[in-house]
Amino acid sequence: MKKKVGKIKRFIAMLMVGITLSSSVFYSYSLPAQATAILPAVEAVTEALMTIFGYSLGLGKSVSSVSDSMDSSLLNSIYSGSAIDVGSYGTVDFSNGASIYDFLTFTQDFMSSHILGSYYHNYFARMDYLSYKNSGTSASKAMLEGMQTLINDIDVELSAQPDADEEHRAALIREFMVTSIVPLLSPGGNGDDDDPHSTSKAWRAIAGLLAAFTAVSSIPVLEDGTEDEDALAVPEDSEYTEYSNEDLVKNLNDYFSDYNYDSDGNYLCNFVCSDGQICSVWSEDEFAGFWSAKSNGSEYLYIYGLSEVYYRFSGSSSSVVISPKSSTSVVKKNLIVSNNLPMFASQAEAYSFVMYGDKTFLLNGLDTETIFIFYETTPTCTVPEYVVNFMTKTPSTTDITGLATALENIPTDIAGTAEYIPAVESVVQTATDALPESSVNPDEVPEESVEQEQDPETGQFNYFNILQLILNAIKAIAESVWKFFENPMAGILTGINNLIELLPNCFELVRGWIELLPSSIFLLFESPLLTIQKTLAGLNPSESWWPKLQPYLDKFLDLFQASVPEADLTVPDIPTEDDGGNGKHSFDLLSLLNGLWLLIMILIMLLSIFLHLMIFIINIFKIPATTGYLNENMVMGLNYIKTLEITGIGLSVYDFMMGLVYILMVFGVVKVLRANIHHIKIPKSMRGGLFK
Amino acid sequence: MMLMYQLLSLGIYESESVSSIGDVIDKVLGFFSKIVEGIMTAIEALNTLYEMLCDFDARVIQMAESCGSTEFVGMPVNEAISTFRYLTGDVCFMMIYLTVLFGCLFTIYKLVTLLYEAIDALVLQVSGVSCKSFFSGLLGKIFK
Repeated sequence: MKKKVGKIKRFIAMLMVGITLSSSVFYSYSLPAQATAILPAVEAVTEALMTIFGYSLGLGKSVSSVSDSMDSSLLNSIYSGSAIDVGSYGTVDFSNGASIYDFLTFTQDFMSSHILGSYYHNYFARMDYLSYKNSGTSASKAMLEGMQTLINDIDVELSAQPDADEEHRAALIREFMVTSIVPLLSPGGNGDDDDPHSTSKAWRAIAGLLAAFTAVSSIPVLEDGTEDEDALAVPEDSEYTEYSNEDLVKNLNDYFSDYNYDSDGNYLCNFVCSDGQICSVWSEDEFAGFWSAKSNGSEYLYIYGLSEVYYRFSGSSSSVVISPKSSTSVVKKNLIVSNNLPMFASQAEAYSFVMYGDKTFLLNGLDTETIFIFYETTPTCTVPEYVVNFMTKTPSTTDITGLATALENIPTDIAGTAEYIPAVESVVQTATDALPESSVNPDEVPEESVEQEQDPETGQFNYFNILQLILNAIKAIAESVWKFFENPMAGILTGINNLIELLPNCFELVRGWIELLPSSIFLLFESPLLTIQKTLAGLNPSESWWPKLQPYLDKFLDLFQASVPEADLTVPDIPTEDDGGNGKHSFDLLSLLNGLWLLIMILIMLLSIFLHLMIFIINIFKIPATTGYLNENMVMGLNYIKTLEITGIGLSVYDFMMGLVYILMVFGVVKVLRANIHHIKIPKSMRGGLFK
Repeated sequence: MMLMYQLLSLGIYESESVSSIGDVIDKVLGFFSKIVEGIMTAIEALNTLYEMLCDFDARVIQMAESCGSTEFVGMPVNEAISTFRYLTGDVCFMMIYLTVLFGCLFTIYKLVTLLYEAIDALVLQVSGVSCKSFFSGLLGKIFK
């Protein structure tokens, strides 16, 4: 028996160690393998260009890796002065000055038209995305400026020798390009080592040249359905269609299935997917662009995204359909490469674009007639805190008084339409009637009530008055019940009449809910979280069922007001200080009840915090790696030890240290398993069944 | 007594003497009012604690929602984790993350087990019937 148990233990230990080792090794090697397999060649070129751009900004990228991955045909032609075929553009002869100059000016025009025009090439989109992430600037614009600088410098060189023939001019241009730019691409020849920023213009110029070269070479596949001649033709100055914010909102609202606010007051939007179901929630904090298109006779909303969290897309290279969240980052990369992105450096600039059509800060150029950006909602979408508290938790007296004040002043912020104003006014009237000293001046009641409820010594609000209000209401109901017994027949008749009047509408309402029930249950099984969000969204007054329910609530409120005398709703004076003013508190039974209620709420809140912390811990893997608290010098040092190789073993210092860490971790796992393997209890039934 | 008399003569100690039955009632009421005041202070403290927990909960929600983004304004914990991930690398980070995650899950499992045992003991003490037999019977009926 002991031998069997020992065998089982050894078998399980070996199994666990094997799984751990194989999974760690597989994971270590699978990441670069996946990355190599997934990234297409075009992205490698783009990455290389971005590496140049990153280096030009002093971000410390490796130069040698750029040279290895870059298409060297153009550089060879510049070196040797030979001709090179540039796709549909034709041939560029680097032994002819005019040919070189024409190509340079063409590439400049091409870049400007494709960056600022409507044909926004994938390369530039990718570069702009990465440069936006790294430095907050547009790489394509910087490259364009570099190209302009290069051409200006060449103009200066050529103007110094106006009588030179084409061959001599070509030699001058090539000499300028070779002496000023090309050496920077050679391994080890990074120009001025002390000041990487001094060569930024040259880097941008050569990067722009290479980008344009690659883009021009791929003109036949640049845009689907576009003739080569059209693609080559530089479009005239881009004309942007003026549009108003109302049009924008209207277009967006056409596709919104519903919208609501989260617990922080953020504006959330649900979108309709291609299959007609609500599939995703979009927050105003995220950066996105939208466009609409027809497919199979139906019109759908398509969307662009920039944020790291935009994993919830799928689709082909030409279009993206919103779908449930995907866990792969590959989709995200393809999305970024394949689509035009209206990009801004800050929220304020994007907001200015969305709200006022201001394209001043647009980093790239886009035709805003078909592509527009939705970054932030209109100001009317912001929700005050007290409204959020009303929707999410038990409102305090501060929330109630704040709402009472705000409802009178800004009712459109709450409901958005004028049809709610009567209901709002009735609530305000009820609140103001119920609050103390309401008979003095109704207009000043909310402010006065706030002052009265605030404890002058502690500065905190006394929340007991609201419970007193509830108690008075209960008393009033009791009195109405007593009145009912005084004249039961009249009360019964009134109640029956009211019920008869309300019954058909209630039936209609309930029938609507029953009709919605199957789909709700289906959604519950399909996506429980989404269903919960949808349910919470129902708290929003803009929900479709709320307007139906609102008249009934108003009617109940009116009946209640009519049945209760006004005097019953007034709050008796609750002494908050003793006569001597020595800070003693008054006591009543409600205080104890409040204390008990608070204890329950604290327990619930602790449970909520625990659950939210678990959600946070589970989501930790989403946090991307950034330099964070590390300063520039520390990052530079880390990059240095990552590139510094240990002679003999072919590993960098960083890799060697990380290897040691992995070994320690694996041995740590083995140690833990060895320590705990004796505590594993195997049921008797399994012992007999598995290892007999 | 002598000491009290001397203090009284010097005006240092002023006793609130009980001169009538009404004073006795006042003293008793004062004693209870002190207790009540203590209760009220405790309730206020509970209220403050509850508001603090609400704020903390909102902060945790905010942290969980901003896990996927690189915006760390007001999120020092997320930024620290992000820096840690940068320093350790993805593989090492994931291993540590899984260790922490499984640790949390096993802790929860242990807590639930203990809670279950406690409830079972309580039910057994009260009714004489064990929860285990009930659940095993129920599961047996479902997965028969």
